Amino acid sequence: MLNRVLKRIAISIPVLVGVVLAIFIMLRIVPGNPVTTMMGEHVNPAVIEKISREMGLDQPLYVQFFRYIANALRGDFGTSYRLNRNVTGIILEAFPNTVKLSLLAAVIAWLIGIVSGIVAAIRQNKLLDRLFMGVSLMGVSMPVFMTALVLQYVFAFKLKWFPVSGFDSFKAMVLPAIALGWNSAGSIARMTRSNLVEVMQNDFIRTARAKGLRENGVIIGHALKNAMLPVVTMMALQLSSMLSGAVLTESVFGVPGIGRLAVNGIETRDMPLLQGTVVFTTILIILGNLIADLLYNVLDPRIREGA
Amino acid sequence: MSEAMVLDIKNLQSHFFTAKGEVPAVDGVSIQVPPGKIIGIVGESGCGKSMTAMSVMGLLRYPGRVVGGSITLEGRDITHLSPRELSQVRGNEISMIFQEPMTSLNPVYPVGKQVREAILLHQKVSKAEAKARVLDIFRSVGIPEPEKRYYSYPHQLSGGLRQRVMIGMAMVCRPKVMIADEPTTALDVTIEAQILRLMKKLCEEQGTSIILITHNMGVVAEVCDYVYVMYAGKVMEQAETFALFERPSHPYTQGLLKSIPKLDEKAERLYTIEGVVPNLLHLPKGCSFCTRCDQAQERCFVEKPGLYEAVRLNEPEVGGRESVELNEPAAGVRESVGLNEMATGSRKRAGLDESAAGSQESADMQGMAGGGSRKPGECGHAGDGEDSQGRAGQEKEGQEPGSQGREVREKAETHTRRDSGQEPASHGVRCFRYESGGQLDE
Repeated sequence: MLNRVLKRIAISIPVLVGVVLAIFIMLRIVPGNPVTTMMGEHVNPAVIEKISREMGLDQPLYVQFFRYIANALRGDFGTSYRLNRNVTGIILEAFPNTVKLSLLAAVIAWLIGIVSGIVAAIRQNKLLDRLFMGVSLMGVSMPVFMTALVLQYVFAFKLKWFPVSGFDSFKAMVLPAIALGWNSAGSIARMTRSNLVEVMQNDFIRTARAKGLRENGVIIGHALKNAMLPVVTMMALQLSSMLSGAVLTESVFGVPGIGRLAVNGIETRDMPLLQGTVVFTTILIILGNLIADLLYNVLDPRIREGA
Repeated sequence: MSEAMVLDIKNLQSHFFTAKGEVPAVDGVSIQVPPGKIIGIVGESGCGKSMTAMSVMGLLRYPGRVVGGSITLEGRDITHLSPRELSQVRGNEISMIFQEPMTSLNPVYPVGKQVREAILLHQKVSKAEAKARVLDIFRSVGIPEPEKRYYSYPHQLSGGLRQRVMIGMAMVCRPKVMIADEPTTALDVTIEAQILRLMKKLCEEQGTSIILITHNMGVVAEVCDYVYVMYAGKVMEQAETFALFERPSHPYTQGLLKSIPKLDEKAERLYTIEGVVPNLLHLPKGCSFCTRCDQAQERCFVEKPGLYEAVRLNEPEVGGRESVELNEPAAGVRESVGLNEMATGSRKRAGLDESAAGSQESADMQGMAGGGSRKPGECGHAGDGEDSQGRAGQEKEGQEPGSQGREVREKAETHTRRDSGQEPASHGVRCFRYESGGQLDE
């Protein structure tokens, strides 16, 4: 098991380096000098050149890159041009907000998704099934910014039940969390349902019935664990992608999280900040994949065996 | 008689309601299971064997359901139980093992726990005690290292071991009846023998009756006390195992037995019954088997033979086929038959049996019957006739078919297997083959 974990982590390192390289090059290719963006258009070119030199921007790209990697390994992702603060500090400050939002969204998504998926599977092809699957299809296909805007308009602007934006109270977290979780809830519901329906065709379900289990016992006790294997994996992946910043949701509701940092970084050509958030995000996603993989191992004895 | 039966299935009908029409998968099947005996149900794929078993277990799923008949377990009608009542019967009083040991166990739980669940569902015992019982049953079904195997997952066990686990699960609550649906079909022949022996042993030890569903006549010969031959959802013939092999009556049974390759015969090609089981949606107008029957007559194609039932002696028309007493098979078989059937039975024998004993009997019987009758013969239940004629009123009811049968056979001068096999027999398809004596006497 430990071996497997270490192997997975080792495989992740090149991925991480690749992502850093890609973002590094991309940011150098896009037009716009960060120093001009930072200081304004009408500044003495000599000053700009001097500052560029101070920031190491005059160095060849590969030098900049290796310097960046070396610093990053020490936990230093540079200093934000705009905020003139250590990027690591900024990210760690914003991250708790994203964590709160993601966890709340995930809990909502899992509860709604799993419960409605199970109900739909039990009532297969009945009214409740069609209703839930219709709603979940909406969840899957509505873009998150649209969900966010609709929620904001109806529940914050018109009904005034929740604040329009901000993230300073639990009440303020509700709408962004629903907006963020809505999509996941839909896909979890659909996946739970289809897996459960499929698992219920298995011979061991017949055995469970023959044993004297009643239908609910068969579903909860025997079908669910089998059906949830892929769903759990998906949930872990979803959580890691939520944690790595819900760019749209955070922007619409003005949540000061990782996603908003990334957007700020792009808007202001704040290269260290953007690089920092992207690297951080990548690490989270890699971790999420790792956890999903390991969860599958824990849950499915057949795969555990093969390890 | 029926009181003595552990399980009494009467005129069971299970239909599937498909988009193409109503499929009579089980079409008036009656099976009686005496205590502690092994009853075989044989037939080709799709003949309704498994569906009969699933109906008994209440395991038929949409679009199939039981539409008629009754299933009585120790005097209690279990045909229409609520889900709660049904769950108390399943796994406890009737249990079932399936054809596919590879997939019949839940892959994500240790096998011991899965067996333990069956105990915890039906008995008020602590988990520790239930586990102890699981280990006991593991030992008795021959699972090596039960403590270790308790925690094994299904994928860690071989097919034979998995089937042993299934048998353990089925037997752990000491059910009255265990239905084994092709339990050895997926296993090696060597393992097959072990499993069959094991089932037989447990059946004897615990007094559990077994319904063994199989398409393998060898398996039937090895373990069954009594056999029902099914075809297209109907019971074609039923007899004590010994008798069935010695003198199969129905053309279908004869075909089945002929299909078993024999070592001492040189054959270019193995015998097969031509064709396939007909689509149940488009059964022939007459006998379901007529399209494949090598002895079919014109009449077989146009007229349904119908099922015969036990007929009570005190009915006005003795032997009248219309006076069917579904609810009283108890009264049935023994006293059930009139002269006509007797004649039939004897003619059958005269035509089919080459053995000295057989012809001797036939001669006697023909004499008794007076040779006049032209009624259709019964394939399903060969020979109520002679029996009732000769012995009605003498035999005690409630005797077990097997033992009684053997004794009788040994002593018999004028009575043949019919004496023996008939105790649970009361039902089957009537074959027209014996309608005209001439044909058979040829």
